[in-house]
Amino acid sequence: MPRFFTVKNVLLTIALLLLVILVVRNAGSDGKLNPAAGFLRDGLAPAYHLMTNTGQKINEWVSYPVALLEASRDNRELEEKISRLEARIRQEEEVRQENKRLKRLLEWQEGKGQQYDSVVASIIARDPDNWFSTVTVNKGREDGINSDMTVVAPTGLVGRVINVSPDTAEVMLITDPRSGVGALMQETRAPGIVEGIASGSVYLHMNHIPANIMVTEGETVITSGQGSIYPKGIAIGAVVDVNKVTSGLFKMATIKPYVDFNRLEEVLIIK
Amino acid sequence: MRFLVFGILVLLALMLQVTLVEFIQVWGVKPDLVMVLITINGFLRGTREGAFSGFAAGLLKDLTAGDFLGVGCLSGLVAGYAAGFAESRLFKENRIIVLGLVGFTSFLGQLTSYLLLLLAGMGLPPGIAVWKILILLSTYNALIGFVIYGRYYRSVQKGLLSKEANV
Repeated sequence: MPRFFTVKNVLLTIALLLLVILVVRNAGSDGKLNPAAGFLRDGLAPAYHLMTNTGQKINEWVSYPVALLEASRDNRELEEKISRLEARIRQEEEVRQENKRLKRLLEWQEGKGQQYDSVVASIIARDPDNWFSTVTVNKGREDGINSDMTVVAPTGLVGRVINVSPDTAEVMLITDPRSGVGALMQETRAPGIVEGIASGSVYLHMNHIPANIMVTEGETVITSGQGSIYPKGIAIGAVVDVNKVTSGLFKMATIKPYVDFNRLEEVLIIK
Repeated sequence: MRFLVFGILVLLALMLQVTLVEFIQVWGVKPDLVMVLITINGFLRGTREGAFSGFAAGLLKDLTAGDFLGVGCLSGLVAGYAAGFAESRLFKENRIIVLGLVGFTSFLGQLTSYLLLLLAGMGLPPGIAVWKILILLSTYNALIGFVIYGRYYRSVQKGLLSKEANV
């Protein structure tokens, strides 16, 4: 029968007990390492650091081409996304601008234009020649549009309808050399006829103003209502210059229209 | 085939004319793309075809504009014939010649329009008509002609507008 209490077994048991006591004593310590462990860890820390950094560098170096490909793909996707967003912003800006213009037309309809039955139309084409000033709008006979109907914008008189097809109408602008509008100076009530000079011209002429009536620069010119086409009181423009005609009987004023015909996109047709 | 292609080009030019050309006005004057096509085509084809295609393109323009039917036909005919007159007399390879020719024939075409409109009772001030429309427009047309001539010439030589493209 083997003997348990040999010297070897007794020493082993004592060592185990000491180890257990050591573990139990260190358990729940205040977070401080014992000097030996601290010394060992501090001594190895630079080596750990060096090895970890080297490993990271190698990893980066090995995976660089893959990362580059991924970055390139991400970049392309982001660029596409930016383009899409930019296009969307432009579209939204366009809608915002259109909304603004339509709001102004609506305000005119509900305010000054309340007495008229009007319909909103968009300009879809302009005269191909340089001789005339006409525009084509997207409302026609089927929308109740007829020749000689007055066309306005919130800022003032635009012109009149001269030709109508089922779906479109041609509008002669007041800048057309064939156009003549019976007009009045708003303050002095001096009568005259506002005529277009040429296509592309930014000014109009008001002819046949009686020479004995004083006309001042900046005065507003409105439609007189005579001639049965244009309703009375629609603003046309402001006087920028006045000259006496050589015969001496009349004056001629140069008028700057309130409507910017080059930037006109929507109009109101008074039925 | 080439007549069809020319017709499509005129139609495209006309569509641009009534929509986008408005945005490239200079001092209130816009180029006349149809007139430029009529002139270049006349120069490369001679009097007969130049006059005919000028008349046809002008008619299309008149129908689109809806005013004074016939003015565009006659001005196109004059410009096309005048350009065709130069066909056998001037070098076709030189763009500078085209610059001058398009300017000159545009001037003639627009002068025809002006005289016809005067006859029709449209009292446009001569100063504005001559300076703004005749001179400025002709210059503008000449520049446009200078830019597009090379491509058109190549197409007439061996493209869709060449005689070989006839089917």
